[in-house]
Amino acid sequence: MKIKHLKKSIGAIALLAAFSGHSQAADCGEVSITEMDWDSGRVVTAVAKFLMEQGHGCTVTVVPSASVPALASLAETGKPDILTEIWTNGAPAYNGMVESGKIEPLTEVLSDGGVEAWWVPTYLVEKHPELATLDGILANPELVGSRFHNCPVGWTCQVINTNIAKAAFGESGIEDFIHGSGETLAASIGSAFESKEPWFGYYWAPTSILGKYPMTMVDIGPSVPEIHECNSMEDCATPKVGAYPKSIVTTVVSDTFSAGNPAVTDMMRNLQFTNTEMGELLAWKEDNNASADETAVKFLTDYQDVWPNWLGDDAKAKLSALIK
Amino acid sequence: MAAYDWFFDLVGLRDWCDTDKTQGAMSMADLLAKANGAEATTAWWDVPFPSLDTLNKSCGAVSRTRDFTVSIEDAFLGVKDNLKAVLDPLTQPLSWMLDGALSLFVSTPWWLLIGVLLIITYYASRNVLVTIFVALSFFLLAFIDHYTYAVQTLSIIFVCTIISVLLGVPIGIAMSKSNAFQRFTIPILDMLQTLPSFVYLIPLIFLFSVTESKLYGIAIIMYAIVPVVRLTDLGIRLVDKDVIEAANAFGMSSRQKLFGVEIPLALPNIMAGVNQTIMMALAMVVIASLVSAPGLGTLVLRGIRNLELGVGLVSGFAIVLLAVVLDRVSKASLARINTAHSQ
Amino acid sequence: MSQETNEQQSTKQVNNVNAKVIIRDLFKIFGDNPKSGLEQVRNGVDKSDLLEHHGQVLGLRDINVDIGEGQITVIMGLSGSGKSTLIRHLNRLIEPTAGEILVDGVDVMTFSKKQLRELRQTQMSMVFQKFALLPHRSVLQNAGTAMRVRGEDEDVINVEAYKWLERVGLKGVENQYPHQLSGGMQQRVGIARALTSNAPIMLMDEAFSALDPLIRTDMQNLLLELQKDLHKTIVFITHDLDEALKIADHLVILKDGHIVQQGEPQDILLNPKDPYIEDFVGDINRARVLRARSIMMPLNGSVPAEAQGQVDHDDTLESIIARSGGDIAHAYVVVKDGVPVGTLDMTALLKSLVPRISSDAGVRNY
Repeated sequence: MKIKHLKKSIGAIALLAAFSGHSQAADCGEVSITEMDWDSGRVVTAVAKFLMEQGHGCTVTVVPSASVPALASLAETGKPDILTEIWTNGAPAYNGMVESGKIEPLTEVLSDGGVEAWWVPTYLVEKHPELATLDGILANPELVGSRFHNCPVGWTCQVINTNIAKAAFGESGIEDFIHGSGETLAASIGSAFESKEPWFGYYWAPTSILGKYPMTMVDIGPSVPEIHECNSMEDCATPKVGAYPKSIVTTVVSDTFSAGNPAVTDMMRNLQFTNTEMGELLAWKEDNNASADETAVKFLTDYQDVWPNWLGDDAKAKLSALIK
Repeated sequence: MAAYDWFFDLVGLRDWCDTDKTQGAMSMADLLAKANGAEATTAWWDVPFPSLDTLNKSCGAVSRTRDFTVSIEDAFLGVKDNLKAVLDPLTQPLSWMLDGALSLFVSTPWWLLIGVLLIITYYASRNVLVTIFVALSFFLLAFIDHYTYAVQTLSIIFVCTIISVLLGVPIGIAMSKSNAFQRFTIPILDMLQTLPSFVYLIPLIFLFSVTESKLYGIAIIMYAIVPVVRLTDLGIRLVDKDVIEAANAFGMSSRQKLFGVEIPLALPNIMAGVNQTIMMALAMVVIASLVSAPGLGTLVLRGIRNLELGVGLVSGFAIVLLAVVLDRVSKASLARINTAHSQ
Repeated sequence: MSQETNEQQSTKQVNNVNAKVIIRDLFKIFGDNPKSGLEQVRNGVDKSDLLEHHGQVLGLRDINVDIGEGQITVIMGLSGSGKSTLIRHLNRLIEPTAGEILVDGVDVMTFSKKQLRELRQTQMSMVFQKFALLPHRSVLQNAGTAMRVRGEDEDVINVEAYKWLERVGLKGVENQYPHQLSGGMQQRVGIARALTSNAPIMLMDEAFSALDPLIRTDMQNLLLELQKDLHKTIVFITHDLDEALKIADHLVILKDGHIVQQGEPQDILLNPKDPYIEDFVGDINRARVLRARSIMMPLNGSVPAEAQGQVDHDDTLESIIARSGGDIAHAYVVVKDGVPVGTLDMTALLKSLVPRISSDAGVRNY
């Protein structure tokens, strides 16, 4: 209660300041923004932070987080102010929160959406082209190591994958191996590639893993919304095989923030990356062993035709030195 | 102008520096400076430490720190196959034992398993209260449908503790006999207790498959073995010097001394070490689940990731309950050994 | 200074018996470089000098002792005299820096580890000041330690152990544990343990020093009684002069690691060679310790007719004073095994009761 009261005061002061003729940029104040612990999320946060600080004069606090806890925190406490890269497929509570008005989605920060799918290494498919389809894999389970690498327990994709596996694997003898953590899942891919061993499992793009290791998507058929919805539930009575729909990845803010900070909110609404752009950035990051900050710098220097269009006039003026 | 340009110019290495321009990416600081329309100048008191990254800005031939870390990674990948050929068969028995124990514990009917465990408890502790406590704990866990998970965790702890003791006691004995070996081993023990497990576990995934149970077995053992090693060393060193002298005076060989005098008299300390080893193994349950160990750890992880607070709390408390059970049983056995010695 | 010449005889005589153990030119230096310390000591550097300027501790210097077979040899001295160090050289619990230790004519310094173990298992047993029993074994098991180490049969061991426990007066506590017994009883177990090994040589390191005075007397008597039957070669360490004088057949007095005087106790008492010794023996009850044979005038010619009676050659002066009723005019004939061997008059006896004046260079400072 106190926090909301306080925020209302701050919001009021900010509005007051705006009407008293100061430039909006100077009254940005303190902003908290999440930093998700995967590569694309870190790059987005780094870019956003720079633009907010240099273009709008905000004092930015970065909060390391993940989709589900960030949403819960925002809904219950109104903080952090900005949530970047919420993978809505993986957050069952998302839609409910949007409907109740607790959170306000601004835009799809990954404009092409995230890709969630089942993959096999490209070197495997080159040797055995039939492995590009699920039927091919089911017919030759030993060729993929008779094992499906599933998401860690507690991720929504784990439930979905297990349901699809229940529907598909049948007598093939393919083991549904649930990893303990995202790190071991990624490491299993790295390990397979180093030894050119078979691998078959779930992963998502855009990520540096898929940027670094060439993988081929396995065709498991079309994506059907009702099937996917049932698969998302642990107690789905009739799980069926159905591909993942495009994953909507959004930027979300609290309603109080959007009211009190329209300039920044507008910028965040415009802040988007195509999969090509993000893929290029992540590949460059991997090749140069760069940090998220350095990747942001790369983006800001090389993609001059993209980001200036996100900014309002004041912010553009402030960053004019950078815009060639 | 980068901060240390003057140094390389002064020393005459400018040509060498410019031959290999592995320029790093522009840093955020540089970009900020550009945004403010100025070159990045540094006040004299803000001169950065001459680290690899800083020097690299002035002299492209100097490698950056990340090149250093990448070279370590490459070195590891280079020896990986050789390491695998040696370590894989060496650690395979661990996988067998873990898999065997898991399937044994899980497939045994509950009444049989709990019954056998209660008999072992009574036999080890000769304490009716402890046995009743153990029975009630298991019934409680079973009642809230945590039986299978608890039994999986129990089987893993069981195997890892046995191996920790089988390996740890001889190492402790060796340490107690040689000051040089003790000096060598203690930093390793310190490292095992403090090095984050994931640091060596992720490379291990490159050696063994992540699906091998020995991965989490190694994680648990490397952490839990330390107390039993330390306390065995301590226990033997603390054996009354007069008694050792008498053993020598009557012509005991080293073997007779070790088994007839030193180990029996060090047993209270060794048992304390075993007790701590069990506790540390349980402390590793959740990390073990991060590398695919079954049991209560998976429930905790699920609770954390899904924000199912209740699931996390209940399974966490189940781990605590298991810890208390194992602690009481091992302490009761320890007390029995002590009364037999009547120290 | 050595008391005997360094003859290479393997069977020496001391006090008219064979020398079971011979210690020759024994030196012990504690420190980082004992060899260099040894050099210094041979050149005449003394204990405090060695410590101050060279950082080494002089443990033992120039020790030459012959331990008679079947006799009790007592090595005594104050703390720091090196007596505990010396006894531990006999079974090589401590290794000498230089010198020889001959057991039955064989130098134990040449022994391999295995031979040394055999020596300790079969030839030597040891009794300790703090008992050093195995706390996790019963009294019976403790007593049988030596035989068990040798690998003998459990039944045979138990029979022997029972026998010796009974002999030292511990019948009935065989199945108790050391911590349940009193100090005196624990030491009896220690003695039983040494006896059960049936080793001819028994090393006793201040075996009774940790016991109450009354218990101590009992134990001394027990030892003397056992010795009458067993005739073990006993090396006994103590700092208590009364104890030493009571049980010693041969007495060695150590000071700062070297031997000040050694010989028959009566002899040392009557002919102290050193102010240190004089001070040392200054306090004892001479009447109780000195015997008729030490003071008597040897018989030359016939038995004097005016004697008031006969006394045995081993009678203490105290008992003779009691007999005389305090009359200085009395004189007695001293007999040994019934045969007259000398005469003793009360004035000579009185004189011998007073020690020579203690000197300024001695131990006392008043």
